[in-house]
Amino acid sequence: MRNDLHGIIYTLSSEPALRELVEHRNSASIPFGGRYRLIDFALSAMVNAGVRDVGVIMERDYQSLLDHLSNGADWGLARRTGGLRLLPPFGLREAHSGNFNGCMEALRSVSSYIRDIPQENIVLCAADWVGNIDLGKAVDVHMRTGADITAVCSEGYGPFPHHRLVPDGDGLARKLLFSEGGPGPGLFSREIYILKRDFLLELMDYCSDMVHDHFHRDALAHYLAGGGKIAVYEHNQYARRITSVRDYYDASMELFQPKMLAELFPADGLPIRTKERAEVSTYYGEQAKVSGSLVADGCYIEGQIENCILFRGVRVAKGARLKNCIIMQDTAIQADARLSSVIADKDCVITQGTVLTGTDTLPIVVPKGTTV
Amino acid sequence: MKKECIAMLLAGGQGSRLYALTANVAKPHIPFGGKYRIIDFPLSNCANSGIDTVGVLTQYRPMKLNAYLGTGQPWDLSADDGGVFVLPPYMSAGEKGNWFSGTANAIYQNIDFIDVRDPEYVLILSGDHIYKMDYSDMLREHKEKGAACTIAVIQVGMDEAKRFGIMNCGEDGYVVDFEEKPAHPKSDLASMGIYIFTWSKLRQALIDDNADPNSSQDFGKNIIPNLLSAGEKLWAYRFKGYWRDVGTITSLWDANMDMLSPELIDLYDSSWPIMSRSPIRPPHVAGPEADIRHSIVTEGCVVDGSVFNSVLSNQVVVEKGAHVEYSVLMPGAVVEAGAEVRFAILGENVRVCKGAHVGTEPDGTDSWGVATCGPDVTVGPGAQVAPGAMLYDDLVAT
Repeated sequence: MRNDLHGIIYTLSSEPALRELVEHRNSASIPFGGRYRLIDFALSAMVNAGVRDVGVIMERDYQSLLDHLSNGADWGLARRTGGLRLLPPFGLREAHSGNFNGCMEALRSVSSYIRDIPQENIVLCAADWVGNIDLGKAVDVHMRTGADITAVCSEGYGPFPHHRLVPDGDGLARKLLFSEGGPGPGLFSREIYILKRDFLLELMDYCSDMVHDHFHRDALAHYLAGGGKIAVYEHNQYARRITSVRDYYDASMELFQPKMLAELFPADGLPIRTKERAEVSTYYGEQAKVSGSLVADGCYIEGQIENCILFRGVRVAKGARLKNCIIMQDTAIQADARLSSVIADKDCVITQGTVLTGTDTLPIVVPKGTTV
Repeated sequence: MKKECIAMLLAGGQGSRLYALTANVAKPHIPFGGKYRIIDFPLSNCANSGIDTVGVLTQYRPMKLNAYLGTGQPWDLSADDGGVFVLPPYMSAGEKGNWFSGTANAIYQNIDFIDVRDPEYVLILSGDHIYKMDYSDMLREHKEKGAACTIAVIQVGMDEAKRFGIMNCGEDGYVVDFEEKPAHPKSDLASMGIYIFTWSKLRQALIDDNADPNSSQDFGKNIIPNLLSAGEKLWAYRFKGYWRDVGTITSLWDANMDMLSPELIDLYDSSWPIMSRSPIRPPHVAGPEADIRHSIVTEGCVVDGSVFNSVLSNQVVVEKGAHVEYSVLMPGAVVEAGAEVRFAILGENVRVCKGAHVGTEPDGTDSWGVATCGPDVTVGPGAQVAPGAMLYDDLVAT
């Protein structure tokens, strides 16, 4: 058991390109993969690496996140000493809007919490990504190199603005590049970092004095300018950052590739934990037809589904046909509806005979609780 | 810590008529209906009825059951002043300890446990029945009728009655006579093995019964008849709804098939959830070649073959080209490509290899029955498991 590590997950203002998906929630609690919320992947990675104490710095619109995390019991984090700590955005004395401009501002709002962390090292990341990252191995790199900070990086690139690290011959990066999206030199930073606690406090003091809010642009750039070095752990399996509806849809559809699915949910590997709910198994009716789909428990399927992701408690009535759709929990698809490339949020009703046709590049999003 | 009513769940029996399936685990731990294990039903009924203290009496092969129960948290039974308590037989100072010699003896040996909770009433439950029941309604009737004991009864066919404990009631509804498995039943009201006792009456009856060297220390054979002959009021609580004893291979298979018919028992009803401890697994995968009809599938399954009229527990794999029909597949069972499973029960982690056949359709003969493979058994490539077979060990094609 690794008790020298403390987890901090921060949530920032949701990207506007996530549209309806963040109408009622922060991006950290967007449902993904049939039974998860995005934050489950960060939390599970930490718990799987033996982290026993995790602080979650919450942005505004955190009601759904509170409902999901509760006391942390489903991640094994309901503990008398330590465990899950939920940190609302109103910890500062000055009036606060509940929005953070950047990671350093979020950390500053809980600086007394961070100063009290007993562990020597901290895993720091956002909650807007999907993946099954073995942080235990990243910690090994961090310990072996004795670095102040270790970054989880991947080959390739993001379609969105991101940071890149270019390691030197000794495997340590001394340069940080900003990319608007697309390929570039070096490695793509997953923005998951392991840092020494005292080093993080130094970065926070610097940013506080300068009234800087950003982790990469301000804190890391300052550190590297002063001769700092970043150790690198490469994760080249399935991992995706979700910053837009398009990212969300693409990342979901990739789960139908057996290789991607096995990397995210390895049969005998690290489990992704989520909130449990009392649920029955899924029932397929006499006329049901299913192919290439991912289906959670509690569904009742009498229609046809092809390349679909069904969350817990979804109902698909007779004669309904769904193709390339993502249907979130407790949404009902009534008889003879035809849906193609649709993302239906929680608790929607798609009434009898409705036809909704989106495309791969422009999926239709039905907001939470809508009757169509 | 005064409680109005606590439950004592009898979970110590071997379930010997399930043969290989209970060779290594107690019957209440047997997987059922995809998501569940048998004990989930009485435990969830307790939680939903507002009973927060459940003593679980274990004796036969309890290790897996103990681990499954844990703190009782999955059934919302981990409250500060309640909870699930596993009660095994124990040793006492200065004297030799005893195994539980009968259902009544199991409760007798735990009188201290009950006294600490100081309840007015004690609910006695079995760990081998599938049903949804509001025990608080039964308790209300027990109090209204001023009974020493209330027995839940269900109407069965007259031809079936000889398999049950039968209650004969007077015109006022009170029990006048009780017969265990009568050859010529006088009534069709069968005992469901669910009792509510006024604790002071039961406590004395247990002490008296324990002093009788000829008693088999059993509720049906001793305690109930003794209370009757002592002139105590016994009330029959009539239960209408789905209830099945799953003590045999045929009844276990039948009851699993019933789960495919929500009109018999609605497990989707969110006002009466049946709760379970589930392994952490992703949603099930239906592959491009999957054909799943009139079946139950659970998280962690990977299905790329055809599955008709069957119940799949978590982590079951049905490979491309495999065929499963009218069967119950317990957690971790694997059916490889080209294998066929018909009218069968596959225990946990059974592997049916390529081209093997397990079971057949009913052929009208007396020797036909559901084929059963015990846990961890491998049915080798091309091997055949005959209908009605009970497989304890690996099988290789001859």
